Amino acid sequence: MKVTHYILMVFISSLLFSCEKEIDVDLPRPEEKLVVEGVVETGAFPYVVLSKTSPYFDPTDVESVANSYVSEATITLSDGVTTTQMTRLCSGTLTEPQKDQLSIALGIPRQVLGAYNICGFTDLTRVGEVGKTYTIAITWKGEVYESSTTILNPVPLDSTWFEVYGNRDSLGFIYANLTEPANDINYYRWFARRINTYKSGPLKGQVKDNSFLPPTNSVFDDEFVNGTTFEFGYNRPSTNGNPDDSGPERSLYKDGDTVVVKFCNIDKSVYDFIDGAEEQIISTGSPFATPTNVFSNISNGGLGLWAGYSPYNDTIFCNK
Amino acid sequence: MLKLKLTFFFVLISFVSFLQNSTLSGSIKDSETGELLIGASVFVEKLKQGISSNLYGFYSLTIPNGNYTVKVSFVGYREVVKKIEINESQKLNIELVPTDVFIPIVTIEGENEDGNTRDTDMSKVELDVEQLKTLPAFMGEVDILKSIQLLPGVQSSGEGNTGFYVRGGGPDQNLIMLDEAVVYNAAHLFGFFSVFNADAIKNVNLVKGGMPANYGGRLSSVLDISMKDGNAKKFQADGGIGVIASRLTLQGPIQKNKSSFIVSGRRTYISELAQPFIKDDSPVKGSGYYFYDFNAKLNYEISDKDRLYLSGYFGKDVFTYVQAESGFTVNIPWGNATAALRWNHLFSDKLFLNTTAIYSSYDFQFEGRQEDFSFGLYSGIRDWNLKADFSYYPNPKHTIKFGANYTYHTFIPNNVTATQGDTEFDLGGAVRLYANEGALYFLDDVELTSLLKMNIGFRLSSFQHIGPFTRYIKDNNDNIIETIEYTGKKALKTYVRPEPRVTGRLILDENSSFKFGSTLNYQYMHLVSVGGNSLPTDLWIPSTDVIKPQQAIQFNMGYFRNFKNNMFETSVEVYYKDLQNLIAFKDGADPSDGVNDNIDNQVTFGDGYSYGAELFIKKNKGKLTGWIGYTWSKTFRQFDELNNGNKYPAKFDRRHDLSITGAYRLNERWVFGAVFVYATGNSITLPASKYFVEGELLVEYADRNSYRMAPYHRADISATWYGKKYKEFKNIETGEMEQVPKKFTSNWNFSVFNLYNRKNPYFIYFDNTGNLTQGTLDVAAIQVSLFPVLPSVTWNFSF
Repeated sequence: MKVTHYILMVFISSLLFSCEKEIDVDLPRPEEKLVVEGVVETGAFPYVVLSKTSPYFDPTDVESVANSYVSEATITLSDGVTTTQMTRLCSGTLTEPQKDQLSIALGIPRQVLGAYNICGFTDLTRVGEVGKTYTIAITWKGEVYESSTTILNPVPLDSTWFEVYGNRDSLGFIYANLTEPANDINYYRWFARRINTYKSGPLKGQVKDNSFLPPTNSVFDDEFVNGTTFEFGYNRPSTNGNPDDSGPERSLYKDGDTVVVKFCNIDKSVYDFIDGAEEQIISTGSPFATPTNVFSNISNGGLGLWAGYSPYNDTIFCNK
Repeated sequence: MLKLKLTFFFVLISFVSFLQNSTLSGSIKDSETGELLIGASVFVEKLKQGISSNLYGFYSLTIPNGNYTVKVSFVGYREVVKKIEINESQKLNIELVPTDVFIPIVTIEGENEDGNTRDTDMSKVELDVEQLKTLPAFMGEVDILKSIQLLPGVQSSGEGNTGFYVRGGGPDQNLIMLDEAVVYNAAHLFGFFSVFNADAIKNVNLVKGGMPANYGGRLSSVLDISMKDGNAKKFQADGGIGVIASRLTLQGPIQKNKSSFIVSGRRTYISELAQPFIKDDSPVKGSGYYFYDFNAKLNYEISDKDRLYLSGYFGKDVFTYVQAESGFTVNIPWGNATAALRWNHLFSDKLFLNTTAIYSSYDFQFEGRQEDFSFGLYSGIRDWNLKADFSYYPNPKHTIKFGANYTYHTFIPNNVTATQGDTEFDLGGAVRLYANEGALYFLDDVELTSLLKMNIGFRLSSFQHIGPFTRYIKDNNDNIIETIEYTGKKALKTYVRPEPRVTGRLILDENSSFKFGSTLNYQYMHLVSVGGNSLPTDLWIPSTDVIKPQQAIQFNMGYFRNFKNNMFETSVEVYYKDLQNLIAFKDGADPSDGVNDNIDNQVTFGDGYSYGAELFIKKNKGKLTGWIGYTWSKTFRQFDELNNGNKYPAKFDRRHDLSITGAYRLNERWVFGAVFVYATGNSITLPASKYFVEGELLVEYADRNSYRMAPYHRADISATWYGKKYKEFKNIETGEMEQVPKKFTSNWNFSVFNLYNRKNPYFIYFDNTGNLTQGTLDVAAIQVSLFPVLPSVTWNFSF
């Protein structure tokens, strides 16, 4: 149904003599809300980056992006047994390559990390463990925001492989076979990363993807596939910057790529956020979609996501 | 007290008043085509009493024996004045001559004499299709639904759209009937054209308030559309060739004056014409669209007392979408089908019965395919309907109607299938819901005193959701905690609701009257739509144990006054409407996701209200005819689960809505038309703030419908040029010039839509340019307008 709406919109706006003009929109200034982007993953240090909302039509230059990050907050992290205060780490203390990494991993503009002291929160005393539920409590401007997420048991993929798409010679998708556990309702998220280097072009010698990236529609649930063994495939996520993100190689893997797939079992709140965010990204402004705010698992009117990931990793050497 | 009085009246009419009275009854027809005329007036001057012909052209008037002058009139026809002597009941069939046949000069056009000030009907409008044809038509296609949007209290749902809102009610609250069969989706091409082919339509009747008890099942309005019966006198062909579509209508007698037929078809070629203009790199290259309509009707006069009608409509939209690059193809057909078999029977000259058996359906399909993956979606609704409607005319002081109505509904909210290669995904199979709907009604249109007339009615409606059905009970986390299977035709939930309806008119003086009304309505079927616009994907769903019937209470009153011997009709009406148990999708609901779920788990309920004032000035006679309609109104909705529970303006909350239409008949050859509309902009929900997660821009929306788009206004003009209708020749015997009607006549209609090229807002979207990680992201609001100035030409012919 969502697809139908999208198609109808494309159709109407392109076939029917439509004409467009930019308009000024005068809306009352909205209140600022806290935005959380936090991850706890098996075997990795948990981290949280805080920011706040800004008026929709305000400019998004480097300075305003930098100003939207929140450093003045305290965060406690609990797994039900141990409670610790997360430590603040700021970009000013990072090396240049570390800033490059961070920019890619969190989507924070590189200039912002270079020119401003952006802080995040982490706990270097522990890493995520399967089966534990992690609760954060953020205190910002006298208000407390809470959220919990669980690292579930990982669900392994039976097999993964590369397959050329149609008659595209050396280009194709990554496929996987999954035997879905029958007992409960599961939600999954797919990430992938190419770890081989560019053999030519401006980025020659560099690793193709600097971090794990989600493709579009990166989450799914087992409603239609519960307890079955089935095959599914994903296109290549793009970083919006690499030379092969446009042109014939867009969204496709290439013969010779080495791809690491990170297939995560996630809880419902992570699924609901990602699903809502992906839906909003494609439908904002569509006259056929109901404007809908993205679900958040942060209490007290906070936005964003505190996500627990339980990954299963697999590496594929793309050979046609 | 009132009750006592009424009872007294019934006793009176049954035993006393008949003794020295006789009944004058019969049918009123068009002299040229033999079409029965609906709503023509039969008026006895001496008694100052009259009646309108019913939906089947039948009238009955019981009056004291004596000598009378009877005037029979109808808009667009020459008045017939007959002197009669009545001693015993008699039949008087009348044929009216259309004014534009033997015309030349200005003729006195008949009109339902003082109809608007004398009838108890209020907030009711009848449209003459032939008159509408002189108004400017969007892309040359005369559209009934767009014409009714020009009336006060009726609002268009958007640019070029046939969807309409009546007095703050949603688009699903309009009962749209074609020859008594419910039409569930009256729109072609996403609403730009209606399914009603004007060539096949005889009469359009809109009730927007004070709904009489013989209508029910919807809260806000009734649009009762009658198809032509077919020319009973001679074979006739009409057609038209327009910019986007062509039409052809054939009609004629099977047995002269006894039986006739009409068939009418229409098909678009917009997509074929548009192809060359679509750029090769356009995302819709290779895609296509067309729609067609087919209307047919047979009628047979078995005897003086019996008449049979068989009518049907079939229409389909087909949209194909091809994205060659990714091998993605989509085929989306949707459409309505209706069939109605009617039997009119006269038990006596005072008791008329119409029995109807109806089938009505609406289907929507979506078939998508990419490589070996295919996806199908199907939804629809199917009705079997049986009804009997009696009209009883005991004397001129009473018109009594009573009847019964039963419908068996089948709802298919969704049926999703998906396959990949040989693997078929389990998507739960077809979901079907079944229901019985019934109603009994009685109404008396009674003249209590010479000044006060009231239409007192009562409708008892009922609705029953029946099995088989699977109920999924879910917890707050959307997990199924219980599944209940109901098998067989067991009744799962039954609603019975009384619906009292009262309207009245009080004559103030010869030219003016005051009218008032109060009605209670229930609606058992609900249309849920994902966006705010009417789309073919909107779903009809029944009331269940979760979904309660929608309810509306409306109060309205008005002052009606005619000027200059009925040259001008004017009215001011005010209304207040309270709506309860309205239905909407919860935020983020996906109606196609009906697997292991009930669609009613995805909806939420709320209330609404609307109030407003409507002004109407209509000029009926003379070279210049037309009307001005103005509406001031406010419409709100409140849903606990939407907009944080705060009330918000409905999408179609419009403070001001103005329509001006005019037709000027310069001479026999030229008629000019013009339309101007102005409406407060639609309210929409815009993003208030932005934030970023994983480097993606996300938005938080401002309060629901808190932003208003720019006002909508537009002017259209048209000119229609008629070919000569007569041949002149010299009569050899008398030496005088004589006129003989030409067999083949034609006219050219030239229309210009959006004359001053107003860029009206259709929707607003947001364009993100630049890149967040480079700090260059920029957000702009872009307003999309659909139709620029659009000239069109249509050639119509008749022989």
